[in-house]
Amino acid sequence: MKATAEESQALRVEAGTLVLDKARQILLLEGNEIPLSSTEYRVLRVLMENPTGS
Amino acid sequence: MTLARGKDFMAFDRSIDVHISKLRAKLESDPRLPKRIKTIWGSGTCSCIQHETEQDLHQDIFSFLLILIVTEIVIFALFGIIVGRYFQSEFDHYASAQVMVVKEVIDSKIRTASEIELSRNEPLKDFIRNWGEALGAQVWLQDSDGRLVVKSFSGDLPEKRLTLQKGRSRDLGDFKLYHGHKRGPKLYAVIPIKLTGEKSAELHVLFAKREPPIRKKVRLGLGNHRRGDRTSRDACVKMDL
Repeated sequence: MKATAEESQALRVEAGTLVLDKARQILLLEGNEIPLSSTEYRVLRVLMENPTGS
Repeated sequence: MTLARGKDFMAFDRSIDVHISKLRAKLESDPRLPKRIKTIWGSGTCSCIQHETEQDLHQDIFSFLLILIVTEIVIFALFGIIVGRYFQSEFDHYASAQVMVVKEVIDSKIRTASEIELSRNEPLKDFIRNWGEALGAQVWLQDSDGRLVVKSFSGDLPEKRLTLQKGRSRDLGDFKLYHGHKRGPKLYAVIPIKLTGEKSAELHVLFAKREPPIRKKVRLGLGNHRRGDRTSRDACVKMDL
């Protein structure tokens, strides 16, 4: 159960109202899916996984 | 960029800017003023994800505190105005009564010693001196020619009489009451008085505002109450008005 929660957390990156679902490779903004190209998705994923702002 | 594209990134490759712009167009309400993806110039970092909720929380707290402070100021200001007006009204009432009493007493002292020059009217001077000390007043008389007949008996004359007279004034029958705020709240009364030979003069009184004396006194105690044949001892409140 604990392992499942950790896996789920690892597959999701959250920043405010943005949620990046790595399993499905989609971006959710306030629960709504935002269509992204594969490059945009990868750029956003890097930014969200390495937040440098406060 | 190497992580994102899976190949080596050249420093002059501007395609990343295009992708960032597209992301902003999709994620930001106003792409020209981005809140989520911001560019940080220098140190090689180009963009970052702003944690919107935290930022918004700080903004909300700041707005709340600002509104709270402004509201407090407004409430204190309104409270001050209301209390100030209440005390001014109370004091005006008290001061008007005092001035009327003074006018009556001075009229009688002038009438009883009408043959004496005003500056030598000792009962009048004594009264003005004593009354002036009691209220912190400055008093003088001016005859119809504008000449001072009896000067101040306690303290100097007001330095800026015009300042006082330009303030708000109240017509109270045959005398006027001015409000002044030079060196603390003051009242300035101009009382017309009749002299011998149909001469008229004015009595000018300047006195500091003081709180009116407490007129209501409430006492708590035990009292005897008689009901038929029985006398009971109950708590009671007595009020002297």
